Amino acid sequence: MATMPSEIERARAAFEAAKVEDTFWHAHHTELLEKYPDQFVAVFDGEVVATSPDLLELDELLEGKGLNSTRLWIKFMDADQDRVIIL
Amino acid sequence: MIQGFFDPHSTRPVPKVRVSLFLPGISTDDAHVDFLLDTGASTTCLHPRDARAVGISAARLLLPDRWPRQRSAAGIGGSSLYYLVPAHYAFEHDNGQWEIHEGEILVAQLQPANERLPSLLGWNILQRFRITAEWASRQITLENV
Repeated sequence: MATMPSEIERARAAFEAAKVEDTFWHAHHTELLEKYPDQFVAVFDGEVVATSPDLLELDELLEGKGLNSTRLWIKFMDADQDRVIIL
Repeated sequence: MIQGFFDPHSTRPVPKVRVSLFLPGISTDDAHVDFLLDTGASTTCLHPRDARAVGISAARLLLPDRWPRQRSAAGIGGSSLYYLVPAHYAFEHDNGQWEIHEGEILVAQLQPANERLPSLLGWNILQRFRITAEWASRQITLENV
């Protein structure tokens, strides 16, 4: 088990950022699910900046807008919440 | 003790745990990933919808020649190509302590069939814990063994 302080600080920062993201999705999930069922939704600075059912296409849309797709909040709006998953 | 959770957006039990993930040589910073606890997975897998958060674009996932270490993994839906990379997993205990494990992770090649799948926390990490999942009380815990 490693306990490097710098790693812990990075992890703590990631979890703090996740709480902000959680708050956004919790507040907007129902609305976004209605608007964009079965699509990936990309959010930057609290605004929807691109949507697509396909991750590659979403990347292209974001690149076209000059947005770094790895620094955004992205979530799939699953319209079938009873979907059975067998992995 | 580490607290997991059942996915609040699913009507079925989908047990998950939040991990801060760092991929040396790929990530510039940690990112959180909510992994599905998968006792059927021998190793941990990062699927495309979570890969971008740790610094991997969808386009990069398409290209096997950019990934020197590769594995074929078998699942219910058939066999898929994965890229094997080092990974640091950080878990937060409910007392505020952190636990970090260094290991590896399989990063999935982007395919239509896997781009919506959750990432899986498998036995290369799960072996360190005693796992309790109780749907009735909506509680999931991971304790060190």
